[in-house]
Amino acid sequence: MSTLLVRDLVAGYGGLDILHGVSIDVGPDEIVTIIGPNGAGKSTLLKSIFGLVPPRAGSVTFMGKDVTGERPNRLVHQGMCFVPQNRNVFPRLTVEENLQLGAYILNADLRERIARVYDLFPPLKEKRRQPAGTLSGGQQQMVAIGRALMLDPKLLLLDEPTAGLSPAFARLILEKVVEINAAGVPILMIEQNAKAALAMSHRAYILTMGRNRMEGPAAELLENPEVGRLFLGG
Amino acid sequence: MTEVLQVILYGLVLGSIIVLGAIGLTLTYGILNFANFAHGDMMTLGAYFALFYRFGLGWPLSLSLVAAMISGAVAAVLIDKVVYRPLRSRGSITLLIASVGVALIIRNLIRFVWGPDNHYYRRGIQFPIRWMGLRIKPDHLWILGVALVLVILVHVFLRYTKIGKAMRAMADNMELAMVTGIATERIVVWTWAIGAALCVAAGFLLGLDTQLFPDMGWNLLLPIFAAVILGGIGSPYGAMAGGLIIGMTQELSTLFISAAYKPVVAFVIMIVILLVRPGGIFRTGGAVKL
Ligand SMILES: Nc1ncnc2c1ncn2[C@@H]1O[C@H](COP(=O)(O)OP(=O)(O)O)[C@@H](O)[C@H]1O
Ligand SMILES: [Mg+2]
Repeated sequence: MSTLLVRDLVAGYGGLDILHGVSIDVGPDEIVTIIGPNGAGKSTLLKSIFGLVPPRAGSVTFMGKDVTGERPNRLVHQGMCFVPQNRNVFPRLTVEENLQLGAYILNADLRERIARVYDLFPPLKEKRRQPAGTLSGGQQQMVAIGRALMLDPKLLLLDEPTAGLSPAFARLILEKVVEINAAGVPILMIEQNAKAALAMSHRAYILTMGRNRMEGPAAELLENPEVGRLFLGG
Repeated sequence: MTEVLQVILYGLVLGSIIVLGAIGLTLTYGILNFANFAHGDMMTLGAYFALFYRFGLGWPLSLSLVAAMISGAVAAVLIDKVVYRPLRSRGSITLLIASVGVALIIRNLIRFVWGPDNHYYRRGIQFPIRWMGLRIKPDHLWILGVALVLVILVHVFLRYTKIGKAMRAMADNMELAMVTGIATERIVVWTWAIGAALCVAAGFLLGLDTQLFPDMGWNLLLPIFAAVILGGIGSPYGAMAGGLIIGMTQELSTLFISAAYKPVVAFVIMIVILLVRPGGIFRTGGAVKL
């Protein structure tokens, strides 16, 4: 059974449709990457899966349950966690408070979960009492991902986790994504760093103008000359 | 020198009152993204609630304060339910105009029920304590004490409770708070309740310092807004610092210019901040946007 099953999703803003029927699957152990040009609707797709942009048609099925248009709060309860592209930390809250809020819906002792995030991202431990807004871009991204991991998600949605990071930090973050997935978390990720993303993913989708353009095993897309020419910069 | 110290004491007293008003205003401004013009009149209403408990029911003054804070919290939650919540998707200008309407309704209701005249919590003159050449009214000590206790309680609440952290998170980044799974509507209710309770305390202390009259809170709204903007919108700690600075500056200005210009001082500070540092002096808050 697929963890996530998106079928013919239509969504947009105001009177304008951005997605014109997009379909995506994520299997239980997969890293699935979405690539495509700017403005293709990749972020809109994640937001409408997560209930931030209401779908106008189509369906979203999560772990066998229809969750089309379900509010973010409800999806979080079911184990879907989302790291948005921009403004994805609480800048005036400390690093540790950011992590605590990731498990807001739990009434439990969070110390062990927080310790696990610090194991994954050691630099956060010494900065735990600092406001997240004072950290570097790469460390803020660690806080953002750490926050989303606090609930042991059954699916993690990542929107351009390496955007604006130095190459070294970008590599580090992608390595961590692989590590998180190896621990059993399925991942649906948008990446503009297409080559590096395809190299680490199981499968990928190419989205253009709000429609599925191509899909397949990531390794095949990486070899495909047309994909190389159009989406990987030659 | 003694004169300056005396004015600093007045500045602390006024500052404490502004601080209590500013915390609630900055939280609703940051979380709901609208400038609540009814905040000053909620302050007045709270002061009159306390008057009712004190003389209508004959309760002790301290109990009257607590009862008024609870009543104010309930009133604010009800007003949100009836007026603001249905309008929330319409944008901040609509909410602002609605709050002006609420302000007028509250003020006229107060005039209708209690009349336009001044009221007092205590009869007779209080003899000031003399200490190092300073004249200190016992009420001033009460005001500073109550404000200090409430600020400490707010701090503990915001830092160490789940609801308090969620409130700060929502003031920081509303969309991310929703993404995180915070039940935002529930926190909004808490925000109104706590903001209003503090604002009622501010009104009570203002009434204790001077007297109660229907425009008392409205007259203090400008300095409260100045404190919120100075501290950065949505930042409760900024509002505390901003409130003390505004209160202190207003009183210190009386050493140089006529006391009649006190409100102008707050206004000038606010305009200057809006022009040069719209995110507040600590640059931690959101910028003003309508
Ligand atoms: N909040 C919004 N309101 C209106 N239009 C938007 C909004 N967000 C994105 N868009 C538009 O939707 C289109 C797709 O945007 P997006 O999903 O962010 O693309 P991508 O993530 O693939 O770069 C763009 O044309 C963008 O201008
Ligand atoms: Mg995007």
